[in-house]
Amino acid sequence: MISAEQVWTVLADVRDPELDRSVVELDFVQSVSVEGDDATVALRLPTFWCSPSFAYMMVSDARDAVSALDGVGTVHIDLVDHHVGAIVTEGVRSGRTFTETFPDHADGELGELRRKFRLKAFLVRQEPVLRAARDAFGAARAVELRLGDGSAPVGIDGEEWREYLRRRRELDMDDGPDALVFTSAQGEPLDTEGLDHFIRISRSVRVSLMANTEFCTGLLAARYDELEHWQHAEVTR
Amino acid sequence: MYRSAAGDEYFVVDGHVHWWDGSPANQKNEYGKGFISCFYDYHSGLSPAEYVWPREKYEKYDKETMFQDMFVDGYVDVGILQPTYLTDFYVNGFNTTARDAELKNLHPDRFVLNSAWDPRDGDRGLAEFEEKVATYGIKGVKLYTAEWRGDSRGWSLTDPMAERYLAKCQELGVKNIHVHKGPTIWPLNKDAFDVADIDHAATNFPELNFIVEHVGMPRTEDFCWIAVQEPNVYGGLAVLMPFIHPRPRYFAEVMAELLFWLGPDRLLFSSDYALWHPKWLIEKFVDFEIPEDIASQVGVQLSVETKQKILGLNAAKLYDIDPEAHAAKLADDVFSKMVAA
Repeated sequence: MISAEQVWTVLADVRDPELDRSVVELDFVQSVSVEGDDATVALRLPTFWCSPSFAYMMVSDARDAVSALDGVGTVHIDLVDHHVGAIVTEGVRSGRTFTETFPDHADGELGELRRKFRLKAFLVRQEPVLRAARDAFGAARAVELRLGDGSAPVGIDGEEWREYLRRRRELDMDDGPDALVFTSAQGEPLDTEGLDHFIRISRSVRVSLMANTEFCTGLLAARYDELEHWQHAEVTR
Repeated sequence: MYRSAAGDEYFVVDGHVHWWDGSPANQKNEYGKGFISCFYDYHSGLSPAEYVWPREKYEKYDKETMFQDMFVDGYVDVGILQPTYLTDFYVNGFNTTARDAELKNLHPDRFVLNSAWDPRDGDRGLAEFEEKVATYGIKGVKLYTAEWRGDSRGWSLTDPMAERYLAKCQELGVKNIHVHKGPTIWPLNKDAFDVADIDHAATNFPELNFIVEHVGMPRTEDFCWIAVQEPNVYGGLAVLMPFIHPRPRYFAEVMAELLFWLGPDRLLFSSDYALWHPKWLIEKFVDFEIPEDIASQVGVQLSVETKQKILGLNAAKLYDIDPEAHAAKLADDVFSKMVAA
């Protein structure tokens, strides 16, 4: 027997690939129901038009996450109120790849697109940590910090630090104690002189992502008559 | 013309306005229904409550409503009509050049009439476009790269046929190319909001101006990198503007980024009417200041001069409108009289 709580817990780890936030936090999970060992999840998105590629990633990631629960039976992820909802739901349910799901409209899988978003997410999560390290230790030392040197810089809370390290790992970066804490998204060392500009660029990426997140959550709230709540709560930090 | 409490005057060019028909009678299929519903969520989600229309009015509004909202209540001097065809979703199209021309003919000094093209229409479309330019005296086009056409889910400015259309624009002096991105693309596995093709086109067609609608949202940062490289790339502020109401802090953050990377001369105000009403956007924008912490961190200010450029002077320059002469021309037209009354 599995419980609905278990399903919600694993869904909290499924992210919108573009916004880099949990689908639970974004309020994309409309419902979870469990009957015996079988789980059904309804996912809803901010608009009827959200890109099919992002939708497919979330539905298939949700399927993978719930399917990994011990003792789970049939897993059904239903994409609701969406222009390709039935196609994505059925494609993921029957184990078809993205290309197989959209044979006329896709010429490859989603790995490249996922990576594009992961590179941005890395910069966004890195920016406040790197900024704090620069302010605390100076640029010259910040770019030389190693993972083995210790924990988060002053002013950075544990969660921000852990989230940054997680984005780092997702790009398959070296996790050893001698690895540099701060690199470019491509893993290259940063140089002292260019550090301010590097942080400046990352700031722009962060602002864009956060504004986008606010926009998406606002559209979702408008769509499902939950505006009053949205108008009083900003999702992003 | 808007006069602020401080006595500053603003010549207003609304860079992106529509006169659409999204009513059930015009909807061809569930996509037509989904499109206008999505627009309504944009409208109701970001507008102050007193500006939210009933759904039916929003689906199809008459021209008198539009004139009143824009030119009498909304301070707009000139509106740029941007078509959105969507002929796969709507029987008569959503908002075609022919429909917009009705407004232009009634009040020629109040509107700039833009057209559109789609490279998937091939040589036939190219000839038709040339005809439209001659008929209407077109100076700008709006391109929607995510538009569905039969089995196609979109196109790119780098498509060879699109380059032929751009060359035709350059040849005919249709120099303002407004580009609208997302949410679909061909192929679907690529990023539907990607703006890289604009970089390519702006380099290849230096005599054309590329106005990226909604400042590339949700890829605003990528848009900024392109604009830094390409002097003929501009940002249209549709969709970002209404953020000023429910999310002023994010509005300030994004505006600060845009001013930092592009400066004050390449940003164009637009209401995207009837998505949002220009009256409250303009009032709030003129009163708006970037919070001190953001302004000092980024090193930019939203001065009166900058606001004047954004609200009208930048667009006027692109469309060869002399603000002073034009304002004088409008001073006793029917709408100015209604404002005065």
